[in-house]
Amino acid sequence: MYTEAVFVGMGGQGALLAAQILAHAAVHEGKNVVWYPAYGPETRGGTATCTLIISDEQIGAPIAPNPEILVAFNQTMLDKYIDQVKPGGMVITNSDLCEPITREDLTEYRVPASSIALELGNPKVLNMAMAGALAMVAKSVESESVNWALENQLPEKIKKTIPINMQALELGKERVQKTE
Amino acid sequence: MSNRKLLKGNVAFCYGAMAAKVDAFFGYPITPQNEVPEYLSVLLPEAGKVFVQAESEVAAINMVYGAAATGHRAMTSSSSPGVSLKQEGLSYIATCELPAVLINVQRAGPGLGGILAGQGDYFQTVKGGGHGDYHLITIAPWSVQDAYDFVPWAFELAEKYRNPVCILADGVIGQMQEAIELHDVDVKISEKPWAADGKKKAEKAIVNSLWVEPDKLEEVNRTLHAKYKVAKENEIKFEEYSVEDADLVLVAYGTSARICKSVVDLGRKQGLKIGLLRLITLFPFPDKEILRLSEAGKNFLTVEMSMGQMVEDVFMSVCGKSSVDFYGRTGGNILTVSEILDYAQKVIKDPCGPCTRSWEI
Repeated sequence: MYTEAVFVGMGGQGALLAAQILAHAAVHEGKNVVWYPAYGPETRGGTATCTLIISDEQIGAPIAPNPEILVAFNQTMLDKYIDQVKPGGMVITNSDLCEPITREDLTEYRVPASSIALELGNPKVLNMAMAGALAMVAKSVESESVNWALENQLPEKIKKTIPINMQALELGKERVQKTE
Repeated sequence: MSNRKLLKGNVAFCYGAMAAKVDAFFGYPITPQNEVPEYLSVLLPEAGKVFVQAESEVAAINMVYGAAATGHRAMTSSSSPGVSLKQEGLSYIATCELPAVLINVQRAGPGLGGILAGQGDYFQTVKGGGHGDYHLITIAPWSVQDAYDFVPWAFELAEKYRNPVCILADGVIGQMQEAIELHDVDVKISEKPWAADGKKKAEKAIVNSLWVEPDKLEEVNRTLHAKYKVAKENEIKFEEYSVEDADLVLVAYGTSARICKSVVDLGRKQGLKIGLLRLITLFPFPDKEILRLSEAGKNFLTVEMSMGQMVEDVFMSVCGKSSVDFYGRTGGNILTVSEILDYAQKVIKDPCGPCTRSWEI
């Protein structure tokens, strides 16, 4: 098992945290993990990018300039990163904020992450819907482990959001659809 | 499995420092190592130890100098431009034969440079850096696990040789998170009869780096270099990966070595006979091992995030017996697996040839 994904979004959308929760889940399963943020002069409202690698084997290169999977939270960042995806790779997009992709060599999965979050009554949990979509498509971590990560790794002050995060995760898994 | 934790490299350095029973940390903020002082500012006072945010890097290294002189386990951390400011202090610490640990989370240079990762401080670190004839024992982590494990090891080396030790990391090692084991460390803290700690001793403890009498100063130089010779005989560490039947051996350390491991895996799948020599100690440098491999007919490709620094040591080690090619990126650009593999394929077909200074072409 080897999953190499780059998460891209705007600051505040939770792209980094979503990848980090998946990373904790993979560690819980005994897997090897690298989570690497783009640490430029990042600001709120700016861009947020991170690399997530999950593997059963020892991980070599800790960065993925041409990732197998791109997880795009919005159109701006999708446009910025789509050309870097490995030929034949995969893109998971937030279908509420992204147009269908035009690169024909990629497999596209779309998930209405923003709608899911609004339906659950908290726009912030769109990131876990995106995480659920990746977990479903890449089969790199089990839901139980992600739930464990949510319960054990979220900061104390947002612990009350654990149930709604778990719901977002499940709905993301359910509603992600491959574009035929 | 449950004691595995997902931690950032910089944070792992801090847990490593706590495991090493560090008495005092003196530092000054600079990206990309800021989590080190940030976490130690909580962890050390909680443990009843000393944390000081100094007024500058120069002040911080001189506080390390003072604390080490009194026999305490003292350390500092910084990133490239900040480490440049510490060089005078490091020269004094080395001359006074004091144990201390410096972590350099290298960023891209020269000058103020950028805040992304680089490996341009190799010369500064292994060749001396400050004035005079001294060296820092230098060890290079390539994972977050190493970031934890290398701090206690660094103090062990520092006390064994009474010499400052540099943990030479880079922005990727500092900023990435990986799963690590925070295993127990068996800390060996050495006796320090030389410490100027105010206790009554048979022989007065004096810490000094000024020797105006030429023969005495030459003796100090000889003493330092005798230590480096012993370190060379005993402390060299490296890892070989698919080297046995390789025609071309990649030589790298830190993040570059991690990337080169992926290059070897991908190259092997394509039938290329390539391997990796991952250096762990950079000073002392494994010149005998590299000579042995060159005598076995292997060519080398040194890979660094620099314009070519460590490659000079590899070049000297082969004694003209094989080719030493070079590939590097700078400016904060991280090497990619595909560009290194392309270059490796090129040099397998067309090596630069023995005695050619490939990095200058």
